[in-house]
Amino acid sequence: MDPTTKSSALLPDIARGDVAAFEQLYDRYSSTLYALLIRILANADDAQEALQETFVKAWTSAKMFDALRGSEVAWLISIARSRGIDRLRARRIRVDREDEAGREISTVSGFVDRSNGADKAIQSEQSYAVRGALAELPEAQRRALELAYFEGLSQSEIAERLSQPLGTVKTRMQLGMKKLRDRLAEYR
Amino acid sequence: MTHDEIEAIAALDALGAATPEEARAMSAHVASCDSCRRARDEYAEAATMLVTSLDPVPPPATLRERIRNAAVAAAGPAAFRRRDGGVPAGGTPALRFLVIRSELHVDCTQNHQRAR
Repeated sequence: MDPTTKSSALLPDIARGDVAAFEQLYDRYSSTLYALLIRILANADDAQEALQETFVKAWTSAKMFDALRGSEVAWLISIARSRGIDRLRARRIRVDREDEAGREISTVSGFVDRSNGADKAIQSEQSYAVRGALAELPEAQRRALELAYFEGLSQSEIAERLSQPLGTVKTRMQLGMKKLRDRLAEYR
Repeated sequence: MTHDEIEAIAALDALGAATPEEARAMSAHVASCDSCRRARDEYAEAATMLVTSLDPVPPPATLRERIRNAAVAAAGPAAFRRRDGGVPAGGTPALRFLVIRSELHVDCTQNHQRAR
């Protein structure tokens, strides 16, 4: 099952201290969250630390989850992304990363590679829809989105990285997100 | 700010790229505007879906137990329980504290014995 599809919520049980529900939450979402953290951090040890922080936070803060504000997986992704970006920023302060260029294109090039591969049958409909929607975006919009979401760069940092005016970068992000929102409306 | 301006900020905010000033303006606006609040939530969901563009990566099997124990050891739900009503393998926080304390005591005793 695609973990981002709707399924019975576990967080209310976890908020009541149900360890079995916590284990179920881990089994349901850990591969998705780990993939996100690997994408952000490009380092297995850091990703595992961040994954642990994410689930411990889910355990200690489950009662804060508000189903009216979004889905369970959206809440977890938001925690994981925040932990991943925090670690990435801390690491950026210590060292200059040399592999940026290679990773920036990985999402969409990965989509193209996989869509021609034998494993495409196991990809969920939603996953393909997202990859398709991303692939349809102009390269400049997609890069701006990825730099913001997966690398945690600010508007001005993205403008600097892409050597583009700030206004251009904002417009690209806004147009790209609007297309994604419209294209993926049926999966909400 | 107009609704269009707030929607434009919501798109950036979903990516974590709104400036603090923009985020504040949006928060204030959506508190009393249903359509912009809906737009904000829809952009947030769209950003979440970006994660589904990634292939799932199973974490190492050993991590499951490590994370479970870390959660059980962390402050959290006051009285955690298993669905069968039993005490989970990691014990209650108080029990776990006692176990750790007794393990430390054994370690210290052994160290003292070795030191002698």
